[in-house]
Amino acid sequence: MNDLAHNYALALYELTKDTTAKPAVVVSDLVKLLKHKGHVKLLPDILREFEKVIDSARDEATMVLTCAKKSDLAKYKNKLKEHFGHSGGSFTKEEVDDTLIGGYVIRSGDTILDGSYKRKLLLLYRSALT
Amino acid sequence: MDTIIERLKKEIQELNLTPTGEEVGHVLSVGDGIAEIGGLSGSEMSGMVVFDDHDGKTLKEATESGEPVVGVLLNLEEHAVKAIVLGDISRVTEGMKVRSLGKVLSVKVGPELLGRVVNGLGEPIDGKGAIAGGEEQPIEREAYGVIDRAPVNTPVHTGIKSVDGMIPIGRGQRELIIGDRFTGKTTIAIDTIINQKHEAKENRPVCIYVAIGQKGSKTARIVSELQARGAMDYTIVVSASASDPAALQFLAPFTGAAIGEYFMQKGKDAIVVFDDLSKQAIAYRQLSLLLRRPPGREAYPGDIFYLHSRLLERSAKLHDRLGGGSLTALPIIETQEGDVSAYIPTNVISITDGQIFLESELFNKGVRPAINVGISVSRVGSAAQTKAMKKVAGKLKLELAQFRELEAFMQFSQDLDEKTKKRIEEGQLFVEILKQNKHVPIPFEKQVPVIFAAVHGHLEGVDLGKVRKLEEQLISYIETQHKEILEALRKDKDITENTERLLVAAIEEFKKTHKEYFISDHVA
Repeated sequence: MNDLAHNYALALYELTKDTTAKPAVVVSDLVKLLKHKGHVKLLPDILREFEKVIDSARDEATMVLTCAKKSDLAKYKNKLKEHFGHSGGSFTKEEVDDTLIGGYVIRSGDTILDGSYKRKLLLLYRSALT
Repeated sequence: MDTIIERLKKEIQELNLTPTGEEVGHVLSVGDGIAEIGGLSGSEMSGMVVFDDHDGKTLKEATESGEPVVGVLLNLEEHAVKAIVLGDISRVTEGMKVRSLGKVLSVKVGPELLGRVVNGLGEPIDGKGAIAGGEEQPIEREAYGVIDRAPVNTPVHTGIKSVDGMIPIGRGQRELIIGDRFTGKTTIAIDTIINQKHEAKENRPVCIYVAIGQKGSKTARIVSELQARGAMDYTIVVSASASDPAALQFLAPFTGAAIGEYFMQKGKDAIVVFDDLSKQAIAYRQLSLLLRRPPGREAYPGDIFYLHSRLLERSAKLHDRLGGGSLTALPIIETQEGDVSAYIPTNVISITDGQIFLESELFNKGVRPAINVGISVSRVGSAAQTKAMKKVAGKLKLELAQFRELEAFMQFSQDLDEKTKKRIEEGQLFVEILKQNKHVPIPFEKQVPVIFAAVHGHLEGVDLGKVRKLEEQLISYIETQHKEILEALRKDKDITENTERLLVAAIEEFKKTHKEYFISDHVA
């Protein structure tokens, strides 16, 4: 990873997040700055890093609710609010994973809440073994 | 059967299965025992992580895949963290979920471990089943401060005459055992462990032997030797063999220290042997280079001194206010061609409170243990040495050092004056007296009469080839005919006037009945 390109990408992300600034102006200013500092060569790297920053920010904001059956999704939707204080709105994704057996798993950014039967049974199994 | 069901029922009831938020990351890259992980922004140094290889697997597959692979975070960087993988690295794949366990690396400690062989993570590897009970203790912790410590005042009897007499070790001391390969370093440590059997049970230190990077066969031999001598009852073996990952070889000494500290905190005495720290340094160098930390002298990382100093600083004699327990450390360092000025040996020499230096030359001459008493020292042990031993062995070290200087003149012995000749003869006797077979430690009260007899000239004229046999006979004679001498030494830990009188009489009596050990013209 090019640290300098990553830092430029982060700065670009912070500036474009600000709703008062016009994206076109920010980008044109960035290009001017790169020319001034002799860093134009970094532009492709900065774009790649910018995509990563955007993806990670989107991941941070997205809540993923996973259940064993499709019919369980509605049943466990209230768990989002119970654990995170809000239901995620348009950033909520729903997935089905039948290996979970039952229960639910919620992932939001770097945090995971695993209330699946598979995990409970695994914990029980390991506790019995030791 | 009923009790098993009851126990399981209780465990099910007590098991907390309420889901709580856990921090997760994902593996960015993996190789050479190191995993680079994205996410986990809230992690702490030495934090434990578990690589979740159960994603997408059925419960059956998950239970069959074995214990989860764990790792320890060692590098916290701006965009990622790096962890050393402590299990089967082939199960760790790119993109795999990594959960933070929210705790620093800990091991189970407690008396349940006595008699067991565990790996660098404190897990049993002796096939005797799981270790029930015990409490968790972090393997890394800050050493006790100055206020919490007391001066070293109780001896650790090694059962080795030359060590107990001239390089005494105290409980809470750090005494380095250093020498080339095959000079008997491990033997000194193992004999010390075996000799603790002679201590009263309430006073007996718990021994922890940490094998780092050793051959599995060597560790197995040591365990069976300890078992055969009845020493495993109070010993715990921590083994990170040469085939184990470098991460486990790096962690094993810390695990040993954590186990020892548990007993120290309970007011007991413990001895921990690190066999050997040179191999731990090599394992740490490997990890540091893979973690892309800058290499320094001999490619060791910059914090290699701190690695050993923070480990050895954990041995201490605690203040009575904290229970008065102690942790004695016997680190071992292997030198190359006797070079003590290499990087790791000089580091550890400066950290410890003295060193027992073993020499190949002495070993090959048949002087075993091959201790060079001239350059071996114990900086704090003399304060802990028993009065009896201090009285008899006081001049031994000086006499031996002078003998080593005169040794070169031995070939011209015909031309030497009487005084020098006598000194050489005395020196030869002392060398013979201090020889000892391996794994036969001698309790201190039996060492004292032998050294007393040699130092006070009672063995003048002895046939040097028969000294070992004479020693055996003398001990056995006193044991059977004058038990009261051994009892007095054990009780008083001193040679009182009365004991000295009895001892002299006993030795003279022995000489009269065992003339075969002496060259005739010397015996009165």
